[in-house]
Amino acid sequence: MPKTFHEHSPLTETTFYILLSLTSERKHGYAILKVVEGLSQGRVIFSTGTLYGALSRLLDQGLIECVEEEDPAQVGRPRKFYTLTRSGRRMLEAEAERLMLMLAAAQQRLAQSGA
Amino acid sequence: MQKLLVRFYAWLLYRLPAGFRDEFAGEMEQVFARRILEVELRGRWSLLRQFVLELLALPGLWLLAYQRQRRVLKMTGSIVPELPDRQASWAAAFVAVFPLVGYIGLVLLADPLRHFMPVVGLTALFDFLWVNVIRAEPMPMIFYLLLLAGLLLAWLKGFPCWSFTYLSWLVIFLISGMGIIPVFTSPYLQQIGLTGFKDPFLRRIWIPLILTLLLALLFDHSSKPLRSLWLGLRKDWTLASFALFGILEFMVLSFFDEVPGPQTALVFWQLVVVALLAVGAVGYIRARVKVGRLAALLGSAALSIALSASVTAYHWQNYPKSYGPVIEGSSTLLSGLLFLIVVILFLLAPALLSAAMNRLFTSRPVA
Repeated sequence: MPKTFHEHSPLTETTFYILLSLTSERKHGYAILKVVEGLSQGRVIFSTGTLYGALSRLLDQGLIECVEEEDPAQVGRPRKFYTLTRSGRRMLEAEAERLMLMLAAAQQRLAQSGA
Repeated sequence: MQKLLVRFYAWLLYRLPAGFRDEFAGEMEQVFARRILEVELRGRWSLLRQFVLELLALPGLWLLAYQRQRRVLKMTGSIVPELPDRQASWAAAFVAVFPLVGYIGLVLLADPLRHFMPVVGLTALFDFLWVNVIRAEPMPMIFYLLLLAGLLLAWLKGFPCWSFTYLSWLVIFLISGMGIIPVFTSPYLQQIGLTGFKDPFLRRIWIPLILTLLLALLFDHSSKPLRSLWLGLRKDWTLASFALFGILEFMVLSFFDEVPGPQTALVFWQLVVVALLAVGAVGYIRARVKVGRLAALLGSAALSIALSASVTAYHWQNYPKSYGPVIEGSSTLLSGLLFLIVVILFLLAPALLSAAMNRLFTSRPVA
């Protein structure tokens, strides 16, 4: 049985960044690595094993899906692209909302204590 | 350099469970190659650092991939042990032979190696190993832990045929720990470092075994591997013979009891006996039919017994008579012959038992 949003939440940093990297367009594995590196300002750098472990888990959870396309550079060897599913996007939105609420609460509290 | 690292990584990826490997390994290799190419430009240390990080991620990935495959197999209901009538790989043969040659081989080779070490300038290192590992308590312990790692892997893989040598050696350690073996045999055990239940390591031998079994249950959440073990034995009774073959090694090598110390010229012959038994195990693993498997076991057992009996008989005939008639050469040869008959019956026992059970359960009175 697929898990509910509540069971997935909070997302790990790895999962969060991978989902976030896939919001604009579908990407292959190496592009995900590079985008995550950029999004986290070089703080999060995956090894290949960590990336594919996370991708396989997200595929199983139905949060991303894989599309295969013929690679024009290498005939007969399809290239895989990963893309967000609808539930993946909703999951990411829910997580972002949760983080924003936390951030807002923290900012408010810190502002009060600083005043 | 880059090509070499990529090849090595690809080889490691090939060790991942088949389902995961088919789905991701090709892609992972490409990503790894690009990553390495990119890091190489920053210098050798960056390359090394990245490579180590990549390696460290693999054990976790292996576990995840294994659990994923297990889940898929459970969903499709197709968990089966490695089928005994399928020819096992050379890798499986290599793994199966490890318990037979690893421990005894190292103990036997320790002395010759010690003499060889000054030639290559490694005396200090070898003396350290000699004192701390090879002849002291850690040696049996390290080997026992390797056997337990084999048991864990065997459990996760549903007890394939290579695992039966591990099971038999675990039995040897356990009964040695309970103090049973030294009652009816054998100074040979003491010669190779298993000194009976008075040894504090052997007395606590159950604890790591129980922990390993708990770990296996934690990974697997089921006792299905035990069912696989039972089904495998029912389907191919030669597996039981193979398990007994592991114990046989001790029985054959006990011909060399009382031979003074492992530094004698007989070490060479003991190594030949171990090698013969290892060849038998490989023959068993690689044979496609039951008759071939049994022939490999019986052939190597017969040859190793004949060799052990002949060599030790020759040894004792050249010895002063003060050692008494019990260990004279002729009596050694006679006991070798009797022992051969016992061993053949021992290895054939599972076959005879299986035939008897088939007869018992399949024969019905004609109406």
